[in-house]
Amino acid sequence: MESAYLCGLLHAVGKPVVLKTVTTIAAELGTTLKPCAVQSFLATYHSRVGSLNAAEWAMPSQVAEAIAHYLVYAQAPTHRHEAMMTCLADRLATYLLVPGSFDNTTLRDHSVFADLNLYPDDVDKLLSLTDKVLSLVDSMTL
Amino acid sequence: MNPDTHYDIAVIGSGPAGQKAAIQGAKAGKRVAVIDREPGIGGGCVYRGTIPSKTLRESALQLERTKQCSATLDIRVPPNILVAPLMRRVDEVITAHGLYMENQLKRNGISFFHGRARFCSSTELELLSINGSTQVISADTIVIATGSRPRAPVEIPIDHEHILDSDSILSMIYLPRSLTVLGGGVVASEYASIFSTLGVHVTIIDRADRPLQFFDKELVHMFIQSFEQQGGRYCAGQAIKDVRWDGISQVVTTLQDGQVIKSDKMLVALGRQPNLEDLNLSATGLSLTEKGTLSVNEHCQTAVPNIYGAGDLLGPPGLASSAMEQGRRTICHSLGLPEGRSSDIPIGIYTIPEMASIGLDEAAGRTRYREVLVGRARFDEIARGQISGICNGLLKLVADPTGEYLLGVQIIGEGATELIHVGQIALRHAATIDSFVENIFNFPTLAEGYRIAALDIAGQRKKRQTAATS
Repeated sequence: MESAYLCGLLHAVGKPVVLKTVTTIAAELGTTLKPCAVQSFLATYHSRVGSLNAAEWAMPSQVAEAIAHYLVYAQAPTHRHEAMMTCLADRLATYLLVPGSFDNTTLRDHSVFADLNLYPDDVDKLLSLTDKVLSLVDSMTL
Repeated sequence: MNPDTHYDIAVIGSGPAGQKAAIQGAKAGKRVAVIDREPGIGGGCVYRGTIPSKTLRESALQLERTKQCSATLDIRVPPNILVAPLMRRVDEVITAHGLYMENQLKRNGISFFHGRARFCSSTELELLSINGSTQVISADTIVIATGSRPRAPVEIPIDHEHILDSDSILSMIYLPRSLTVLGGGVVASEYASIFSTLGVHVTIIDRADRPLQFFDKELVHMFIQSFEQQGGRYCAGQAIKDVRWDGISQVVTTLQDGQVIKSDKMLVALGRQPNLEDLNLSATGLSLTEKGTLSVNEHCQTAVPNIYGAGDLLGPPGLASSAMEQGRRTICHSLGLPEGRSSDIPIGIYTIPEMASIGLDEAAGRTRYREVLVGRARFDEIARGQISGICNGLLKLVADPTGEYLLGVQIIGEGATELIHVGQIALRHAATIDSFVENIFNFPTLAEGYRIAALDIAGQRKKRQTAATS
C-alpha cells in the first residue's frame, strides 16, 4: 500500500517539470506553443523526466521504475507489480476525473486488470468506490 | 457427464495442501484438475507467507552474523533503510519455486485452471476465469484447500499503510523505527523477532501471559529473553482499548490499563480466517463451524463423503507441513489407499532464534505420565555452538518416568528446525534414550546436543537408582 501510494502520487511528477521547461524555453525563443505541441512534449518526456527526478531525489527504486514504465509495465525490470498498480491508478484516475476520456467497457478492456488478477467483480467493487474517491479528491483540491 | 470436463479428482487451491493432494492423486493414475484463483501455483505460502517472510528473516540473520563478526566496527542498521533490498532474493526464490511446482504438475499430467471455483453441487464446480467467462467441470472427489488469510478484527482500523497485517507488512517501503505487534502467535512472534533483529524497536502486545501458548514454557521464556536483549518489549496480559493513526507519523495504541504506546507502524497478527466464503458451500449441503472453519473427520473428509478439506481452512496448527500431510491423506482415503501410520508432525517456528518441537513437551509429558525425566543440552556447552557463535540455544529431551524411552524433543537455537528431524526419526522408531549415548555423532555438530541431553537423563536415572537402592 505504501509503495502503491508513493508510486501513484509521484507517477506524473515529471509533467510540471516538462511544462515549466518547455514554456521557459518557448518564452526565451519568443515563440508561442500550440496546446497540442505542449501535450506532445508532455507525453513524450514526462515519464523520463519524472523517473530522473525520482532518482535524483533518492526515492526508492520502485518509484523511478513505476514512473518510467507504468504505461509499458511489462518492460519494468524489477518492480513490475508497482508499475502495474500505477498503470491501473492512472487509468482509473483518468476515467474518473477526465470527462469523456473513455467509457466503462473501454476502461475494463485494459490488460492491467487481468495482470493484477482482478476478476470482474473485483473491478465492480473498485468502481463502486467512485463517489467516495471523488469526494476525497474534492476535499484535497486546493 | 462430459468426459472432457470430468475429472477423478478436483483440487481447489494450489498451496501446500492442494499440491500434495493433486500429486498423490496423479501418482495413483487419476485424472486430476487443480484450480487456483491466483495465476501462479503455490498459494499464500509462496507469495505472501512462508517464503517472503523467511527471505526477510535470512537478511536479518545475515545482518546479525555481520554484527557478530565485526563487533569492533559497531555496525548498525542505518536510518531510512529500504525493505526491498532486504527482500532482494525473494523474486528469484518465488520464480524458481513456482517453476519447480509448475513442472511438477505438468510432469504428473495435472490440469491447472486459473480461476475462481464455486460449487454447483457436490460433484460440480463452476470456474470463473479472470476475463469473466465460466465453465463447469465435474469430479468424483473434490478437495478444498483454499487456505486462509489474516483475520481483520473490526475494532482495529487496518489500512495496510500504517496499520498492517501479515500480508501487507512486507509492502512497506522503509524499515520503520518502531513497530507494535498485536498478538502472540507464530506469525506475531516470527515477525517481531525478525524486525527486532533488524534494529526496529518492537513492542509485542498480547492478551496472554506469554506468547506461543502451545509451546514449551522454558523455550518460550528463552525466546522472550532473547527478544528483550535485542531491545524488544513484551507486554503480557494486555487488552487493547483503542488503535488509531494520528494522521501525522504515529500509530497510537491505548491499552485497557491506560498505557499508551506509539510506533511508526503496527502489525496486526491476531489469527487467520479460512478462505471459504466464495465457494458456495451451501450448494453441497455443507456448513461451517462457529469459527468459520470446515469440519472434517480424521481422514479430512467432510459430512459430504466425496468432499475433503485440507490445510489452513481446518484451523490450527496452520503449518505448511501439516497441510501437505492432510492433502496427501485426503487422496489416500478417497482412493482406499493406505494412509500410512499416523505420526507426529514437527512444529517449526522461524523466530530468531528459531524453535522446534516434536512429540510431548515437558508439560504434556507430566500430564500423561505424572513424572518425566528431562535432559538438557545448552548450545554454549557444545563445541559447535561455541565455534559458530550459536550459544543462545537449548535442546531438551523428554523421557518417560523410567528414563528409558524418548517422549519428545524441543529445541531453541539456530538450526532447531533442522535438528528436530533427528528426534522425529528417533520417536518414529521408539528409540531409547541410551541409543543417543551409544550412537556416535559428527564432531563438532549441534546434533551432539542429543547425546549430551541423553547423558543428562542417564545421569538422573542413575541417581534415582542409587537413591532407591540406598
